[in-house]
Amino acid sequence: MTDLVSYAIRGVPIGCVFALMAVGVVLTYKTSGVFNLAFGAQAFVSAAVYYETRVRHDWPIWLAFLVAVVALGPAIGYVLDRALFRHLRTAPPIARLVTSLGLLVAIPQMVQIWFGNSPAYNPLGIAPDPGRIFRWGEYALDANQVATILVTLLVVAALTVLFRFSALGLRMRAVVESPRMSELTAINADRVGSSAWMMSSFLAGLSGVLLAPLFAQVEANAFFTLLVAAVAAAAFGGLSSIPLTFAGGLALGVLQQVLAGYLPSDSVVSQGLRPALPFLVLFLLLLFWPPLRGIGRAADPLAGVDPPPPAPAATVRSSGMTTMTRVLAVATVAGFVLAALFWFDAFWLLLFTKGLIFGVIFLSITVLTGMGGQVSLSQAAFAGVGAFATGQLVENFGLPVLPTMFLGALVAAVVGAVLAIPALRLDGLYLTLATLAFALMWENVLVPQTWVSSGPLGVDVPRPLVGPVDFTDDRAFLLLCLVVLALVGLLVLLVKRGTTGRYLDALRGSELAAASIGVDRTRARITTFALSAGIAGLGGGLLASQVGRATPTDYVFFLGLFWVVMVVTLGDRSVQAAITAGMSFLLVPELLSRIDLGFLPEILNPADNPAAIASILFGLGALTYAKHPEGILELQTRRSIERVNTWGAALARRRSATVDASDGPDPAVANGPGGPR
Amino acid sequence: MRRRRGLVPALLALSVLAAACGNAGDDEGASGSTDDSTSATVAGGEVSDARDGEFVEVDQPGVTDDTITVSGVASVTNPLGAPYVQVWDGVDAYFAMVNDAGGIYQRELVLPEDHRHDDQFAQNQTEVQRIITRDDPFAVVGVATLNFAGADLLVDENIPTFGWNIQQEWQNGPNLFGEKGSYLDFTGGGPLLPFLARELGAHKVAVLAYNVPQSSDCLTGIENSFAEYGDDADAEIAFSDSSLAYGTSDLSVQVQQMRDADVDLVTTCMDTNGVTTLAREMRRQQLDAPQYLPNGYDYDLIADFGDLFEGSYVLTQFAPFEFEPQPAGIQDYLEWIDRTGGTVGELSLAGWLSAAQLVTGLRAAGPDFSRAAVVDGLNAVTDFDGDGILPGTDWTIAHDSDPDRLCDAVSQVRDGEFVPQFTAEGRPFICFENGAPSLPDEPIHQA
Amino acid sequence: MSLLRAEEVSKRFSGLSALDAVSLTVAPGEIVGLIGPNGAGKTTLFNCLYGVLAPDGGRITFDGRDLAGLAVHRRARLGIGRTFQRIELFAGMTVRDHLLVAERARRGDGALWKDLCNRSRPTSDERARADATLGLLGLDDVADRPVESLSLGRGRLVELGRALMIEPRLLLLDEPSSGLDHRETDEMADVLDVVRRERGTAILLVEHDVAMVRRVTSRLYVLDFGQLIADGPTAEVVADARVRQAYLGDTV
Repeated sequence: MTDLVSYAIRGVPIGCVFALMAVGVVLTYKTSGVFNLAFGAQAFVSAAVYYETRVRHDWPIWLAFLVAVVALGPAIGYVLDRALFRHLRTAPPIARLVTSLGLLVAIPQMVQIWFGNSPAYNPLGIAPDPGRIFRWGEYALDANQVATILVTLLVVAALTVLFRFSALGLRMRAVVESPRMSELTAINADRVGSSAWMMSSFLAGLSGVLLAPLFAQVEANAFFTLLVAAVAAAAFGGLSSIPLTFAGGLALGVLQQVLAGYLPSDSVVSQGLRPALPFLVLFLLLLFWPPLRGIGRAADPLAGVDPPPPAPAATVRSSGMTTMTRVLAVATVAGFVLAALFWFDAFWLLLFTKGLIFGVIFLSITVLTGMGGQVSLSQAAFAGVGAFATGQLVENFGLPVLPTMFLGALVAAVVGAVLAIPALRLDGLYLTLATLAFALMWENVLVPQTWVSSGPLGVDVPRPLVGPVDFTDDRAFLLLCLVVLALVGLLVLLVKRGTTGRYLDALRGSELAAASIGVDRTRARITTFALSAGIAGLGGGLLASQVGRATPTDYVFFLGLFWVVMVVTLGDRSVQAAITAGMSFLLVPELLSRIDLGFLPEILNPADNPAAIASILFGLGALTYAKHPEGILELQTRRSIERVNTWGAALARRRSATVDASDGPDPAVANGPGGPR
Repeated sequence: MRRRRGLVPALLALSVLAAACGNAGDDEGASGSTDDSTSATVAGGEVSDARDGEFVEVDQPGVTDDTITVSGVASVTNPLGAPYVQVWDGVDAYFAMVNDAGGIYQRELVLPEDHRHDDQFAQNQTEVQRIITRDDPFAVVGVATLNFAGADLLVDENIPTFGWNIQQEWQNGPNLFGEKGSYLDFTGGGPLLPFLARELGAHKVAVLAYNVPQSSDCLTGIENSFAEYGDDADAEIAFSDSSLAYGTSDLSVQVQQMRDADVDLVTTCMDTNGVTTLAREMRRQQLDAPQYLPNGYDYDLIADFGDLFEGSYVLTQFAPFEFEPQPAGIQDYLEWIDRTGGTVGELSLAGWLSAAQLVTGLRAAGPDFSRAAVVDGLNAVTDFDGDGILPGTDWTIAHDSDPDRLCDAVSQVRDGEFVPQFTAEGRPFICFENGAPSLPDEPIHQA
Repeated sequence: MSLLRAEEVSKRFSGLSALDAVSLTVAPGEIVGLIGPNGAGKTTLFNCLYGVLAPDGGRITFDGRDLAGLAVHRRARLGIGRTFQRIELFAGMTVRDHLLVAERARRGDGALWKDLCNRSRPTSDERARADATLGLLGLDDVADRPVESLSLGRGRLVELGRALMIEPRLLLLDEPSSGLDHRETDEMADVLDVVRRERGTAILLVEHDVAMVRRVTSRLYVLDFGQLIADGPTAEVVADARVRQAYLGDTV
């Protein structure tokens, strides 16, 4: 009993850490309607600046704090609001989520360019005497822990008061619940939004500086790891109640320590259970915690009056142009195959093969996000399921590789369907968080199991051998990937055009109305999840076969976040966009590496630093989603079609003008605007 | 215990998980070799071996009449703040030394700027393919990456490859040469830790690890060695926890339990983050036991956390730079790292040893060298020690097994410095027969 | 024999009684009105009938079958159609597609394998039925336009058409004339008459426009503060003094 109490007490400091991050997330959500996945990235910014000034340049604490937290935090919040989130207030939740994903990808990279890559060991907190230790009996806290606890209490108290009693707090909530309504009732939503973002970014910066000393060095990962644990606490507070969130953080900290104290430390169960605790708790909360029920369903009464998305490019395209595009597409594919067979060297072959495989994987996002309207952060996990399942089945049962890839896809599809069943109670954001929890559990609990990954070296996935065709030949394998991609593309197209696709369109348009004609949301969603997971699994199997094996580091969940960002940026509604995204994933860094801007510092020169610059570009690209949810590719296609149409119209006008003015062409018309030169 | 080297980097590799997109680079290491040293000091007599002067025309990739060109691949920009780029500092330094003495077979060794590839973005396989297709170098020297998915491609081409062995992929082929052997097995035990416990008079040992395979395998290895030699050392495992989450930031309950169990020696299979978290908590709870840090020989770490790790023991598989008298190899290394402006540390030493193994292979191959001859030649070398830096690698067995004799050097952190321990005159290493039936009274001291 | 029967349905929201033992019936082929001031509980009752909300007490049966616990889409398949006060159309779809997707849903013919075999295009039979409904509602001229381009009145007709495609035996219409001008309201009333006459569909409608109510309904229920305060033939109820006082005022 005394042990229990003492373990529980030891959970308080770490519980406060979870609570501080969680309160920040809840604040952002409450005041801006954005579930800010980039909260950890913002914390990292301030932590890095604080380290740079305080440790590397020996600034006094107060000055470094002033710059890194008091000034920088709100400034970032202000910029984010003005540049992005202000325009997203009435956008669908998925747009806000994708925007924060883009920031999550881009911000740490940008900071790192400035912060450098040498280890930033031993971050200092805000305590003047960090080595000082306070003791109460057998318990001891160092100065930074005390500071964290005090600040957490202070923040919780201040925010509780803010939302309970202050007019600003009320206005913030009003703006989130119905931005349009607030404007009608003379609340200046813009100003309220700015202050909300400044406040929550301040909190992000504060968390960054306070929590950095928990770790040996300042790095972006650490904050993301903490954030994920904090999400569970935020869920406990129903993403709304500050005191409950605080309680949730504490409870999680205490639970973690008590489990650490009582679970046998070397059993397989606790090896899986203990590291997975936050994700498990998050998952269970999302499923069963009453305060989360029905949130998000209470729609803004004035939402849905936005202008509809523009018609797809294909609809404004004349039939002649359609034929031309098709001919062009066939020619491209044929040229590609010829090039692959006769011209590519091993390097291009590898790049294009991977590009095709990523095209397959990305089509899974087209299905789930583009057609189903859901954001999943576990696509990398599904790909991993497919890859490991293929490997294990081949290795243990000696099955032929090619059919086994489809079996692996089937396994992934089943996993996807099973995940979808409990997730059916969830909508939008909560489903996304559930997929995040699943992705982390997969990575932290399942992948380390030897029956999944066979240990650090992974499991062999040989190239297929079909009759006389040996796919260890890279050209043959590329063609195989091309065929698989074509098949999957066709499948996606058929589903999109078929009943399932139309049901999904209906569900995306209005779940209520879709139900009113008898469309079964549950079934549609399980189908989409299973299909999407299956496609990702197939791609994962292909990728493993291309490399020769599937290892635990190949399908890490962060990749999944990145993939979503890429696909959504380029366009999640069309098959072409997914394939383009797959190719870009490989080719853009490659092309960047050929752009030598020697006048730039090495770090900013694409030729010297292609991968980092590529990921910043992709991350920032996602920010366009808010304005152009149809994706960059679709947007450009439509624009160019419209341009051609304008030209065509001008040409027609000119012709008729010529006919009318039978004297001959009017020079003014001939040089008229818009005409092709 | 040798096998636990590389554990931390292997753990770091796991963190690709949270950062596959890589991060922006720093330009520190990419600056290349500064071959402007005109003063031709002949260093390391071995280098100016007469045979090195012989010239025979050879038709090999990456070889001209004047140069032997190699490529390197490193995770220069990684989210972990790990200075992988420094591996090329070591390569540059060694090449500078060799070229300064007239090169080898009248050719200069070069690792050109555009042959240094950054494999961030989980793009190891792609970068390796790029090396093979585009650079087509004679050898790949200076590999220090988070993952090594491209290993098989290099094996297929039989390109001599040298680098930092932190992945089991190094075992995949006879042409892959880790800087101190290519074999990694975390589960095997060894007498070193029980020996250390006996020397320190410790009886109750704690061991902590993450739930990921490398880490928990390492814990199993430690448990095995105490099961085997614990009685001889009068020491036992009193606390063991292999279910920590990677990236954990609180070990207070574990330390409380360690204290309750009267632990007097703490060993870990964790990364920097884990050991600092542990050390801080031990200090808070006043658990005064030395930590044994399998991967603590890191100047940055000690500079920043010196007092936290005061009294801890660290392990190296090379002669610590502090060991006196310095072996010739260490002297050369320190001199040429200084002259080429590189950074002293484990990674640049790995680069140095990689380059040294290439040269050893070239010498073994003779003036009419080829890739295959270098691979075969080096694989016949039974005692590569980098001029006293290593206890000696027997390449006839080092691709897939531990040596017969397990050797390590142990240092203690004192006042922010590494102080070599258990050494004998001119012999930095203590060794044990692999599979010794009992803990010997005295380890073998080896040069 | 009544088609829809609600018995003593109650619903409370955090202590506030929104519906207090409300009972109501709709017979086959009959148009019944439900009126009441704002906040009287009309939409709550609708949502309970429709399955969006679960009542705290009481019983709702449709064609003798207890609807408790039945999901919305299952009620739709039993033959309960619905339109919405705040219009709910499928953005990006054409008018015809709205009808075709509803037709497909009615047939319950959405197996994935049919998509994959490219056997899920609308059949000629489905197209014919959609055309019939387009004709009935006078939407032929906009059949292939995306719904975003329609006026609100036309949008309401699309909603009605979509609901009709599932061949409902009962239609729940939530303020079908809200936001419509006089002419459009008349059109809507005409259409409802035709629907009842030609298809024998029973209709329960919530409505504010008393003229419309008078014109199309034969019976009327009046809700106020979650309680039924009057019911009976439309003409009688509209003349009832209590109703006039509680709701209609002197505008009639």
